[in-house]
Amino acid sequence: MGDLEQDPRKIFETTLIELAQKFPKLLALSCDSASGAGMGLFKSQFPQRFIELGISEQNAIGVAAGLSTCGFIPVVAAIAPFISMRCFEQVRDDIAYPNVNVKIIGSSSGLAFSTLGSTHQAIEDIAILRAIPNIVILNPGDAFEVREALSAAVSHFGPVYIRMPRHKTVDLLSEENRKFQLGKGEIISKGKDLTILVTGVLSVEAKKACEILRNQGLSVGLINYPTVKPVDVESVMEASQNTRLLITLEEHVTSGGFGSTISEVLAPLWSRPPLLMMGIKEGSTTVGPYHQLRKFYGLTGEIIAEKVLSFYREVPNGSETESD
Amino acid sequence: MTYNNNTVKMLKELAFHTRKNIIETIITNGEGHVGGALSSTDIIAALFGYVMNEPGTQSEIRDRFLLSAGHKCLAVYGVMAHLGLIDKQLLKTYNQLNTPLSGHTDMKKLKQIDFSTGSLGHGLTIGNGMALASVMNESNFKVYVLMGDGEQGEGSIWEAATFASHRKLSNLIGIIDRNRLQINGKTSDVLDTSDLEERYRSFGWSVKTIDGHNMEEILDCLTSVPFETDKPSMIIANTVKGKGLSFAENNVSFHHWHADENQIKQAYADLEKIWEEINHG
Repeated sequence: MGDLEQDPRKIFETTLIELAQKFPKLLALSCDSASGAGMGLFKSQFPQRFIELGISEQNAIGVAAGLSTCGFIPVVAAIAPFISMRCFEQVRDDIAYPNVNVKIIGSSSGLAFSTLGSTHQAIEDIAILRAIPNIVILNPGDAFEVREALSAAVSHFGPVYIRMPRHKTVDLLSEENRKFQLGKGEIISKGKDLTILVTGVLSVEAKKACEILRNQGLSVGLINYPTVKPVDVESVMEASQNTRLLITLEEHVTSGGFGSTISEVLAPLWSRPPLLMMGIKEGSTTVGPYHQLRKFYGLTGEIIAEKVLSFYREVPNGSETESD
Repeated sequence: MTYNNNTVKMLKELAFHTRKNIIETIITNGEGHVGGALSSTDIIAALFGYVMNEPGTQSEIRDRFLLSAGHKCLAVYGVMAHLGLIDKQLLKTYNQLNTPLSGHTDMKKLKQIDFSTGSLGHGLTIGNGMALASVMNESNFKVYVLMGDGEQGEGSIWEAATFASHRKLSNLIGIIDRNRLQINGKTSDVLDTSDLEERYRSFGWSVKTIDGHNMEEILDCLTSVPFETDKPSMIIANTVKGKGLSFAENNVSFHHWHADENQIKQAYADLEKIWEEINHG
């Protein structure tokens, strides 16, 4: 809570235990990923409800689908690119279209496996999964959201993909100021000049960027979206009517991801603010230590603020607002 | 489970009516996947007409059937129509707008279907999950997964085969309709799967090979599962693609059939011959 850094996987692990106690039909399915995904404690406490699939994601998704038809709530985890892309067709045909009650956990998503190269970085999973029906996509950014996302996913009947963070992080806000609701954006602040719409682990960086921009005299809003699909249209519409520039921010490629989702909400509006989509440029994948890699892609509070300011000054009538 | 001569005759007649439904549905619609439907007809008739417990119902303890080779769906629709599990009139809607009888079985459109299939290589993975659920819930139902031999090229099947034997899923029964043809030709030319017995044995399954059109052999095999304790069972059924339709039998061009007038006449003559053989043969 607050300034204390927390390990999202540990939070996942303890939350899964709490949920297992509450939901007797909850099963944990691992693809040789029990400890990496945060299922180690579950395995030791509920050995009969822990199913090891080995390195076989296609079978894992099929097994989860089959189990779900008999009343079980399978929570199946593997490293994010493998469980979202290797077995994408199984997710589409056997989970999403039949709308079965399976929870898919993409561990160490985004750039989390920063040093391991493009095979292990999951930066296209939102784009791929949001094209298929029924599936809820959750992208928790901090410990609070991990706990709430997993609880909400298990309580919700139907397919859910949770894009799990890996690295320790501080919470966006202290817990007493938080409210998590599946399908809802979390309005942190409102601003007339620009509003940053952020999803996932970059929320803390977005908050830093907002502070820098406010110090430049701008009225800046921030909305956090732990749910990417279905996206909270209402909060996007409201922001679009009350702010001059919208910015989306995600640890994901800008083509087809969260920013694209927002652009689809805005596209049919007769009058709308410009949208600056920030994330990872398609095809620019490289490797390096996590925080250095984020910096390389310009995904730190300072660089975000700098780019936003530069873009804002180009928005017609935008620069004048600085003196408002 | 024991069966007698009456059972065999009843199932041969059921297979006949299933074939008739397949052929007439295609004639009404103008086209349809015929070859694999007819090669798997006798096995599907035995399963739905005798072997499976409460097939096509909503009972929690019913045996499950997964048509992994989903394009053979006309055999399932055909048998269910004759058994009254679906309204026979529905066959006329096959492949029409918003029909529950689509070109691959769809559980969201037809509740009698245990799981949607269509893309090859999925059935055995889902069967694993159902078989495991049966064990965990102590429901004691069996899961039958019917696949094609061409389908054995899909890698996901081998992931599933490994898991099934690892978990000792003896309530899981795989059936391969080995008609030795796929769209582009003989399986031995396209992607050879002639050593399926060895492959499944080496993957820890108990395997039997039968004549997939001999009702006694089919029943002997299906009523003796699991073949070994603590192992999943695989039945490799040697079949003839297009079985019963003289011009389509073992003919690679009849994976899918666009029915023309001469063929339709021949098809009815072929059906009459099958009926004669069952009753006077």
